[in-house]
Amino acid sequence: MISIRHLKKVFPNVTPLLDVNAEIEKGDIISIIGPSGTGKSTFLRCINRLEDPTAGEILIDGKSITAPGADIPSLRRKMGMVFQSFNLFNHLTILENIMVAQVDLLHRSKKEAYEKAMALLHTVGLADKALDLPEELSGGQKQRAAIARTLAMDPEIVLFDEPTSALDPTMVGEVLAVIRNLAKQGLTMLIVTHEMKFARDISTRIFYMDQGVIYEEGTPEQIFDNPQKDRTRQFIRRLKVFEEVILPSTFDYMGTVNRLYAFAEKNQVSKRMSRNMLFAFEEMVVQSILNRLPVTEEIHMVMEYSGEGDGLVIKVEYGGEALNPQDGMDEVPRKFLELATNTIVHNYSGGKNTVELRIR
Amino acid sequence: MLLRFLFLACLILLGCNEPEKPIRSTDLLNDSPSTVSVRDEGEKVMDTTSAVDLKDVPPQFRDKKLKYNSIAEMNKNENLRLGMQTGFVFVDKETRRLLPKAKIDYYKSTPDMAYLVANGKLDGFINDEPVIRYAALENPNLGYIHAGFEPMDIVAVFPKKEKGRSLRDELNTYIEKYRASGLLDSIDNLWLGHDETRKVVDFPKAKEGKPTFKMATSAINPPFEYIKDGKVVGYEMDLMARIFAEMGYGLEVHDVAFESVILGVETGMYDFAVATLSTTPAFKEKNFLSNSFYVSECVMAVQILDEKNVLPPAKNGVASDSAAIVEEGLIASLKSSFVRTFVMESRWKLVTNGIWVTVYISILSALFGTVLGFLICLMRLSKIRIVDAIAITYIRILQGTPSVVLLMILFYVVFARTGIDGVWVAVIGFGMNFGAYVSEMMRTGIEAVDKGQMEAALALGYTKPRAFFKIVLPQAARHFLPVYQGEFISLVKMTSIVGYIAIQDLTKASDIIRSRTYEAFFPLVTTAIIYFAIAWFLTRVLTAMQKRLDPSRRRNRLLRHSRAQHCHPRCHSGGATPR
Repeated sequence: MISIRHLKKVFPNVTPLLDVNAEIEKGDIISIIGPSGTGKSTFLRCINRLEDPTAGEILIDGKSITAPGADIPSLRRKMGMVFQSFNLFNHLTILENIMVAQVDLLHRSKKEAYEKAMALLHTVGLADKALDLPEELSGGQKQRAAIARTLAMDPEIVLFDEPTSALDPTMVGEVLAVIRNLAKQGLTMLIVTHEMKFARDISTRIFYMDQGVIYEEGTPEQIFDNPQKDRTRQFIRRLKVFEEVILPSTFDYMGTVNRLYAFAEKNQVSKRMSRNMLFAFEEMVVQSILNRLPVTEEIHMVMEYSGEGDGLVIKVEYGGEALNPQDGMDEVPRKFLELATNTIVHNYSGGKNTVELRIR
Repeated sequence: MLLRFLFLACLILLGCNEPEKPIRSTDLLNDSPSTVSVRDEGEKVMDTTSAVDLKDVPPQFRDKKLKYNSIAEMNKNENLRLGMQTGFVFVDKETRRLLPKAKIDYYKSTPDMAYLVANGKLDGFINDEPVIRYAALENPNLGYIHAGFEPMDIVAVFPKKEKGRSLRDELNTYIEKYRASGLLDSIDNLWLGHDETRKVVDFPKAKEGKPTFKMATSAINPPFEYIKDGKVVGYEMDLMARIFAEMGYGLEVHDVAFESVILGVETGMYDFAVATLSTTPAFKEKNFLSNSFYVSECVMAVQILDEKNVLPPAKNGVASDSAAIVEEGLIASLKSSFVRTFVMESRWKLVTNGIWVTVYISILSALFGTVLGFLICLMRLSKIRIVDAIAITYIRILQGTPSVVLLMILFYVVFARTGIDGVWVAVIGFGMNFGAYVSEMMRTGIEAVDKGQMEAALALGYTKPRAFFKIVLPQAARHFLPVYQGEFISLVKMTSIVGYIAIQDLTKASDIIRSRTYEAFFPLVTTAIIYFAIAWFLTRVLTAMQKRLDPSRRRNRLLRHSRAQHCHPRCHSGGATPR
């Protein structure tokens, strides 16, 4: 239904989309997830040409909408869009908001438009608000009205641009319920969202966007339970990451310790765990690896912290010959290290050592 | 001829003082018997001042106490304030020579100065003798003294072009013919006399195949040219109308500000000018002048100090009595002011016509200005730099130009030769000015509308222009309409300057009435009240429009509507189920 090929969008000082490729089939419900500022909204806005792509091609039913002279208004009529900030027309009542485009653009009679609008307002539970003005509605009600307005145009696909991000937590549920209902009816939808549970429940596919591309895509199970790439996993698990490359020749001990402290502080790592982390870093990375490593090798250290259960994991990667840091370690530090960690796993393959420590 | 007039005036005024002919005196001076008592008072005063040198005082004022009896006396006053008609270049120069210490203020009309001199606000002003004499008839407190000016020829002024010369030559033959037949004198007699019924001028229409000429005048100089019953009349007007009728030409009279008369002739706007213009060297050099048809001496108007001014301060016991009299007198004087301002000579017609012109120009300018402002606003919002720059330049220039100057430039320069009606020039001028302000107002209004509104409309499938008109503009209008309303009211008031380009609006109507009644308070205050009423009315109209745009009001209307619809079945069932 929609093919996106090598889509690129450049703003004067950022490039949110580098090279996006995707195929969207009829009936797909695709949730687009990813960290802020990775071009999710820009991607959606490019699809209905609210933003002009810098390069690339978007085909809808085989017709290019990026070609010069494309009839954009009529293409947009096939595509509904629901905005983060609702964008209901402030000078019109809710009923008029839903009727106006039907009458103006689809040339429906006022009666038809009225009946369609009232039916939709019933399905989103706002029939009693038909004659209210947008300013008199709560955020959740506004968003439901905006969805009704979009649906009144009978779109083939609906683009949701973070529909719940501007809402109070108490109002998120009512809007998601409306979208869930639409999903059941088999409407094709593209949803940019930060609601992970919701995305997992209703989507047929998930796009994880990062670094200007669709970084990983798959079924909700693939993405949420078994992400293939580190960034995806870190995002899904909501991991906070500390990364540092240590060169034995230029290693600045105090600097690294300070940064670790700052990382622990910022992410509210418990006192005990951050003490254990520092101890593990000292004994393992500095004493057991760095001191025994050839000067030419470098150590790649990644620390991942998740507030939810997974705890703190230190991953150390270095080259050279097989070197298990626990070998030849003194008795006392070894004992202490065992107390500070849950597991310590060492692997050597392809000329690379990896050590993974789970901090207690 | 001047002497003849003085003689005539002396005879008339001497006649007034004869007790056996009281009817004649009231007739002539158009005044109440109280004047007679003033005159008696004046006689007493004269006794005490008989030592003063009265050789510069005309005979009819010798029995009054004048503030100054000679130019030399005026020169003794260190703080002398004189009035000067704007555009009297020659007289101005001479006055400064005669009275080097005087501080001179410039005024647009003789009646204004006459009023100020009679009330002692000005020490004097210089103008042609018949003009001041005529003003003195209306103002019992106004007199004049000879200032030592040479008598001057009053002439018609033509542009220094072939067309001007031939018309002048033709006119000259008729002037000479009239002089020879004594017709000039009889027209003089008519307009300086008191038979009001005969003071009518019919401007001729062109006979077949003959052209119509445009004559510029400034009808603020009775008895030479002034407005009566809403029409331009006067000695010079009558003369010209008669001559042109005899020549077979049409004559169109254009009443403009005095300083614009010559400007209009020089720019080719008018074919010639007749406005009590005298032969000064500057005129001779730059224009063709006709033969003289009147000889006038310039004199100095001065105040006549009547008993009110002379009276010593009232004693305590009398004060309350006199206050009561003053109060009674206030109502009576307001009444008579009303009659003089509106009823006499059907002056209300001038006012109603002026109101119509003011409203007409205001509304058309506002419409034109709004459309123009909208276009400029679109240019301002354009992403093309140069288009935006043009719009900004336009706005800055218009905002920095006084409306009067803009109007004069349009009338006397841009449209001078097109013959386009002054009203349209005013509409264009005010519209351009209004547009500059409206465009900025609209721009801020449009920019205040959230960008999301446009995006939502586009996403629904609206084209950009349609989304703009349907969604953005109605919301922007709610932002800028209150400011727009204020700007519109200032536009209404700003139209009061159209008198500069010969349009008779409300302000001009009040000027004309003042030039006839020699009164300032009543016409000015009523004019202010009328402007207020117009502004109030137009504000109400705009407020009503604003309310139509208010969505909650429209919603309430919808609610009422739907309730009315729902009422039917309910009422019906209500009636069907009583038991």
